[in-house]
Amino acid sequence: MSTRLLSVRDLGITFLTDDGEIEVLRDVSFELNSGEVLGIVGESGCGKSMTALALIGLIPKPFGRISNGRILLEGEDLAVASEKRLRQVRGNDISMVFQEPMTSLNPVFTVGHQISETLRAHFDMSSRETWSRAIEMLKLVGIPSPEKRANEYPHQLSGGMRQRVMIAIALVCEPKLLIADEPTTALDVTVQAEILQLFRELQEKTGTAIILITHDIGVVAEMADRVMVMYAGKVVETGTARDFVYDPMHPYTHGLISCVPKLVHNPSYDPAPLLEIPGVVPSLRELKRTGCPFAPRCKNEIDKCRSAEPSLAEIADDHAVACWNRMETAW
Amino acid sequence: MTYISQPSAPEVPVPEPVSPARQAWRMFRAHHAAMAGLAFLGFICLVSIVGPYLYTVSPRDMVWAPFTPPGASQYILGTDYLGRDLLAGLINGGRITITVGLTAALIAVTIGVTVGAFAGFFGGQVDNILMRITEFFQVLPYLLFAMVVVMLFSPTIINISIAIGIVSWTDMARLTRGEFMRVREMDYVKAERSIGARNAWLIWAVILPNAAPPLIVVAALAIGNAILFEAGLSFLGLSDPNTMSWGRMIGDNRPFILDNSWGVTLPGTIIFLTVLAVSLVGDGLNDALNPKLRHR
Repeated sequence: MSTRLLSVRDLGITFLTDDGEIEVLRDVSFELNSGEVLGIVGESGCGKSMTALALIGLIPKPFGRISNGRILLEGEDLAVASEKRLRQVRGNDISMVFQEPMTSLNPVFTVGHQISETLRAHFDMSSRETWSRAIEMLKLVGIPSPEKRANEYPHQLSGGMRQRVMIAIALVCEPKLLIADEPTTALDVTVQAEILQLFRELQEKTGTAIILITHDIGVVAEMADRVMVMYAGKVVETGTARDFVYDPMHPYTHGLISCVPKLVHNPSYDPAPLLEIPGVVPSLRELKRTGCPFAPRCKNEIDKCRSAEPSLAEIADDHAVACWNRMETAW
Repeated sequence: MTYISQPSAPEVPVPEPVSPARQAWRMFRAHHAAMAGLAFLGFICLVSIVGPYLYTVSPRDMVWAPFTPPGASQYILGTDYLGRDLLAGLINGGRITITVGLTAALIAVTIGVTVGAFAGFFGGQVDNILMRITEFFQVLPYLLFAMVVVMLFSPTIINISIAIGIVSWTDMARLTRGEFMRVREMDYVKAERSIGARNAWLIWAVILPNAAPPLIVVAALAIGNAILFEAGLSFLGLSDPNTMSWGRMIGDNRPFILDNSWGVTLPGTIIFLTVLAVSLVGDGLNDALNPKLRHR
């Protein structure tokens, strides 16, 4: 019923550093249907944001480049698209909401101006039309008295309001895909809930597909249809959100979920100690070319992990894991 | 769950939004010295524009005995060594000095901002080439270069302005480049990019307005520098021989400074006060536009 919107195949990104080219992203493949919410999870430096930037052709130049693979948006390969074409894609087909609402709005213009300028950049519309559309958008993202708020500057708005404005800007051209790069990380918990609720409402209303990048397991569990777990520039597990929470197969996914504290009503319940994944994400520069990148931190490590790198293997319908010695039973 | 999406349920009164420009003007108004400077500059400009029509004495005609001190005749500021009216000289000279000052500053700002913007925005090779060009102009002996330009081409107002402009844009370029490099990395620039903004849009409509405050301050000070430069050139006799200017008055009267000190001190004082006023305005702009000093 739903159509294939985006299909990423074997995407690889390299960065040129003093030590030569290093691979930031390797063999990243995923599919996204229209109207679907895909969560991308992982620690900092795992390549989540780089994947997102690659989709809109904003890998930091001149050092970074797409070295391999294809990004097919409705059949069109964005990995080889011209800069001019990419500019049309940005905003029109794919747009992005960033992590920091405090700094992602231009401080010298009113928010209404910023929304209507976005429209003006893509469509031939009069300023009166774009302004009324801007106010509509502000109303849509739940900003009270939008006529007044449209005339305000970003510093006069709270963090949550600014993130709402960012979402309004991202959605004003009605993109098919919205990439939200840790959209709630910088917000208070209560505001986070509001923003997530807003994402869900807007998704129902507009049918936009969403790629939600986060390291907040709770957010993914609540929002995403499917989840992709990344580690050191690679996809280590993909599956439905249900599989992700209840049946994680990769030790890394398992570890991520064990890191989340659980709230339990029963006062006599003695909770298991909160677990952590020992160690840190390896620097991509030091990453060994042989073996599983997660092996040094893995509790399930076996000999094979050090010698050969596992590739993503389908273990059930819509559930793939890259691991030699995956978790048998989750919990 | 729908109640969650309605933030701040009771309608709170929204304060009138204040644009950054208005906020800056408020800060500027609180700076008394800067306001005094602005008033003085306004007065100088007004006199330069309408003065020659109200006070019709020619600055080039001999109107009274030479070396008449101020207050000794109907020409209240006295006369110079050729018996020319000093007040008429000041009024007509102001016109030229202010015109050259503004034009030269405008040229310097235009070149400087453009070069700096491109260098700072694109970086890499573009930056390299543009900065080498900037350095070339920076190591030129300013006065000498301007003198050569004026001597090679005829010493008209426009040539003098161009000569001053092309020796004084380098600071502007360096500052603009630095500001662009800073603002370029801001999240909102990235956000604008992510919704399909063009480079030209990013440069002129996104980064420049955010980089503007320090540039405005330096641009104001550039006017003062240009006025001094013009005075220097005309003191050396390199001004349009058909026009009077403050620097030229000083230069002309210099040999007679012992007999006729007012011929030098009057235009000198005016130059001093004008440049001081420009500096005060620049200082006030700095206070008004520097976000770190705001809301004190």
